[in-house]
Amino acid sequence: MIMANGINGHIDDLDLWDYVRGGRDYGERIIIATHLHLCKECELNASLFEDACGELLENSEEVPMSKHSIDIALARTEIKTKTMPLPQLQNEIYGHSLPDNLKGIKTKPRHFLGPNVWIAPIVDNGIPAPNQAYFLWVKAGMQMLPHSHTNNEITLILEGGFKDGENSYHAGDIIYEDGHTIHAPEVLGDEDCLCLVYQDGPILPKTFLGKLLKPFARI
Amino acid sequence: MLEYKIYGQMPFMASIDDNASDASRPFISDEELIISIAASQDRDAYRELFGRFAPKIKGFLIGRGCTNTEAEDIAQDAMLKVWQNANQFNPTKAKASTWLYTIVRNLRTDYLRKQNRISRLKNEYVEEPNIAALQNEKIVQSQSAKIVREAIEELPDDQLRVVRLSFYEDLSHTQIADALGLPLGTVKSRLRLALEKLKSLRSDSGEKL
Ligand SMILES: [Zn+2]
Repeated sequence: MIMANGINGHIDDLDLWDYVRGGRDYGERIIIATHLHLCKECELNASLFEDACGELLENSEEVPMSKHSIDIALARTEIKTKTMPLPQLQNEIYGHSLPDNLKGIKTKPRHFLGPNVWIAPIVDNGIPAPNQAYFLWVKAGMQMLPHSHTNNEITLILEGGFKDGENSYHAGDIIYEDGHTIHAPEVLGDEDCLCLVYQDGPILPKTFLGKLLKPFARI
Repeated sequence: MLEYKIYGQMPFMASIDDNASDASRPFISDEELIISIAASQDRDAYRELFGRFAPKIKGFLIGRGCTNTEAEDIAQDAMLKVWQNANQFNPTKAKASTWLYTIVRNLRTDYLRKQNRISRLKNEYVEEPNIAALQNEKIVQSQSAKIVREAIEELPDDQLRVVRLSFYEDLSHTQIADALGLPLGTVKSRLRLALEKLKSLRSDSGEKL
């Protein structure tokens, strides 16, 4: 179950603004939307930014609608829309329940990189986006070898947590990595860790993550 | 019975757009118009709201790079959503303009996704339901229009310019830096200061003022 109390890692203001104003690509919007779903703090800030955007919309330069637009609009209100039963949307991924806002999310089948880690890339209507968002699952007791990233990366923890040097991160936390940090995260406690990861570049080579993982030394 | 209901039922109301500022009638707020649409499918209220917002939405979308036709179509779709979902509008939680903005934004990002997929897939695109993730229209308590407006008006010019380029022109930080001939870091810090100002509209308790 997702516990979202005591979140320490939040969305950066500039990212949140870009999300609210309708920027950024699909994968990044998903991860930000999911954090907003879990984090009251960021949701409040987002709603203030939305108020500002509403205000700016009101101050937009007007461009006249075409001559008969209001007639078209009124005619469209007459069309009876049949209420379709909502399709049953998947609300879990391989046995892990997901936040409500991720209902119906589509992924490629999971791909095991080793016995203790899998990834499942999120697809946008059947095809992976060029910049990838994916679910990453790591079994309890695993640690990664020190490594750095070639891309900017945003991770949102959905279940479990991990420790990276002095810092530990838990469900709901956002963690930013840029191309420079070297780190060696280890999964905390005896709970498996499920994350949603976004990176602004091509996905890692398939074997890369698998090779980085080793059982945690103290086990 | 609310006053605007009577207003909405008058037979000559079909041409009200031209007389919206007539001093003999009380001004009806955007919020009241939406409530009236929800309560009684008030077509005159819808006509009035359409007149107020559709040209702004269209102008906003053209500024964001839509063609005239795209902007007109999305503005129509946004107003139709207002009609269909008016009963979900809660004036104690959101300003009309905030609610409308989130509708327009979501329609636009969905439209861009669709275009993007079409260009990637050539003609293999198949319509599928949108996932809930990007239908984030849940709105927490909305700040009063006046307070937000004043906060924006009080921004120093250099910050406001960055906010406007980001919002109206849909420019990235790098593009803004190029447009203004400023270092990227300066653009980011100006935008951060403006966003801090907006965040300061929250009280110390974490709730909005
Ligand atoms: Zn947060």
